[in-house]
Amino acid sequence: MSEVRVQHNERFDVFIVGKKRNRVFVVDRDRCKGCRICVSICPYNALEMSDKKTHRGYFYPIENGNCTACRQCLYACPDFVLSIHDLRDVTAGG
Amino acid sequence: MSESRDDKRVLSGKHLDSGNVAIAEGAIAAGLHGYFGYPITPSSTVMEHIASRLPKVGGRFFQAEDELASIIATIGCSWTRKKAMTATSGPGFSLMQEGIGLAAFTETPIVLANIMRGGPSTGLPTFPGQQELMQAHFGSHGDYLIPTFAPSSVQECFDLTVEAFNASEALRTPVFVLSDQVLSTLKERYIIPEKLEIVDRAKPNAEPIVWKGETISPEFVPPMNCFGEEKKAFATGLSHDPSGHVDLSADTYEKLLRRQREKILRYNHLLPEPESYQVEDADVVVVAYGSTARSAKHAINLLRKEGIQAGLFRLRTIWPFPDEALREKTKGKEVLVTEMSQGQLIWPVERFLRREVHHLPYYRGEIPPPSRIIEKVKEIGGKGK
Amino acid sequence: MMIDFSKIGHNLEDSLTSKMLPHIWCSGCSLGTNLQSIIRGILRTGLDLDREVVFVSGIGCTGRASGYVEADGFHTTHGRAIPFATGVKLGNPDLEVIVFSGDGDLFAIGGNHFIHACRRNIDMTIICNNNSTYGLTGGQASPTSFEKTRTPTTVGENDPPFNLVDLALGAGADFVARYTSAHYKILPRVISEAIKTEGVAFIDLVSGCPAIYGKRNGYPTGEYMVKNLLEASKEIVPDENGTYLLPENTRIHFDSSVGYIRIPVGIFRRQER
Repeated sequence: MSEVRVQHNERFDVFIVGKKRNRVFVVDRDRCKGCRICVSICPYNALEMSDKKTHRGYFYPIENGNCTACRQCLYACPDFVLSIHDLRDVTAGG
Repeated sequence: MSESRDDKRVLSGKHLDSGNVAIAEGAIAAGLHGYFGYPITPSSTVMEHIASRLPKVGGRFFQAEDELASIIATIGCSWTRKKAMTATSGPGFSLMQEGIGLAAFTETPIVLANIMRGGPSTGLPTFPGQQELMQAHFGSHGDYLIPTFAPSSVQECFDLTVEAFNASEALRTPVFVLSDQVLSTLKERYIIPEKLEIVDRAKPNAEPIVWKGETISPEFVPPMNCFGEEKKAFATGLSHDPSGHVDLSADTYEKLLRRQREKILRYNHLLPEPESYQVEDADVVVVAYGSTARSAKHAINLLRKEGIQAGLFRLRTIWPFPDEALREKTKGKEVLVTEMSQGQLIWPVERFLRREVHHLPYYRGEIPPPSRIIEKVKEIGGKGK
Repeated sequence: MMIDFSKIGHNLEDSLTSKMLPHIWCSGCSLGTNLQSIIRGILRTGLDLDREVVFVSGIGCTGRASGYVEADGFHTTHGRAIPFATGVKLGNPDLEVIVFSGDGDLFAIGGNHFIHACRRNIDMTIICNNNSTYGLTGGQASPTSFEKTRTPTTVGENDPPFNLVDLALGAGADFVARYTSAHYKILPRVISEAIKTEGVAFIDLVSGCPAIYGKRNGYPTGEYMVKNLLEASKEIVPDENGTYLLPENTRIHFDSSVGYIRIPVGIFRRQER
């Protein structure tokens, strides 16, 4: 199966990330308040803000392919929006 | 009290001591674990006696920096499923009003003994008053109903403190014991019985508890999930849903306030009943509580000797007010309210009787002398035979 | 690889009371970051969040924190988190009590309780979310608002602020630290050390309120605030004479046109074992 790098549902955006592409970076759009702290502190410039708004009216971060799963943004995020998981822990049947 | 018996919780037997010591012994007998207080006359001897006794039976005594802290620490201790109390007087009771509202709204079982002195403000620290009857009901902001008991003897200081702990545990509510300066220092013989009914609050997912032979409905009194137990135990002074979490919606708030009042009213009949003394054939019924009722009783005995038919309706539970009993006992009779206040007890009496009654307000830092009550009863027209 | 969305959630979701999120705090507010650092600090100690920890908060924006953590908790009245924690500790000394509240709650209306807690040294961890303002009520001046800052209740200048580190040292706390909300990398370690301290452990957690106080005083966004907090922080260098502990050396400097100028950070006192 060819890799679908970005997957969504009504609440989450999930990006497959990491040098080995074995991690996922998750954005919980439902909780995001668009503060941009994650974008500004990311050491790899891996995040950008969206063009669209969440249903609460906030722009939210999108991963651009540079994420190394270093977790800095996750710790800094004031809204419990961002997560990193092992890919195999969150795949269907995994 | 002999030293060797100090390590027992229930000192069964006869004692000669003050009302404040009896309150302390009642609390220890009822299972008190944590006492939190701040010195204030005339309540301090409750605290001193507990300081000397409670640590010997495995409890904890704590002298706080102020009454704001003592009431809140009492609440904190109760959330560990331990029985907790504080005692105070006038100005301290005012400072505690913040915590009282919190205890009521979070349904925290605590006991607060308020030893009343003359007010307002610093008032008469070493003389009695009965000016906190309304404060016990309406002192903290918001609507709530806290069971309030008023002893009239040293024996009752013991008995009603035990009742207060049982009611607080059974109904998950703060309970007040409203004593006064006269009882605080008055020494009388009192008896600690061999056996006492002691109630412990309900646990989640356990059998409902039974109090005075009655099963307490978990629907009205939700079992308390305490700290260190299964699941998150959480409470807030904000409006909250049944899990304890913040919910400011109109329906949740209304339902919560309604249930909190109804749970007390539903078990009203289990709270200490009023004493009716020679009311059956009385022309005039004196309504009183606390040490004032002692003077009233003496006055009635003297009036009866003169052939004047007077009786006494003595409140032991003040809130919720025993309105039905009062109506029944005073039907067709003249009513005289006497109290150490310019007028607090008269408010619920008139409101529940829906008629005007006679009043003997007495605020001179002492209990109304029997002679004044006799005079007043005669003036009302207590008829001689 | 198809993602199973039922397996997706925050890394700390088990420690959060999910039904209460998103929280009430404004965009860019430090509180959420601080709460996460505290949760990570607690987890680092190995304590069972559900059974062994009680999270107590007062009133204000910070007060709501206890509702978001899946630990036992209590949201007390204004200023009374410390006495509540004291009662819990006397009721059950095995419980680890964490007080998390704001500067107004802990040092204005609750100031008396703080100094007495330090004097008694009953085991508890007190973390002050110090954002120098009353955010929830509209950004009025607090006991840690700086003199030349603007608030709706500033007439001329604010009164001088408390130096919380100096206050805690003077009152006798066993563990005294200061970091900022931007120190989320090292905070879990500091917080776990604070929790393990047997007496009172105090952390002055310098934080920002960009939406209300910051907007008026030189740090209008969360993004700017995080950078500002990090750049202004200066790790203390302990010396034998203890000059690093002098009030003038522990004081925070602030300028309402650019935000924080100098924040001495570090662990100022540790319990001696």
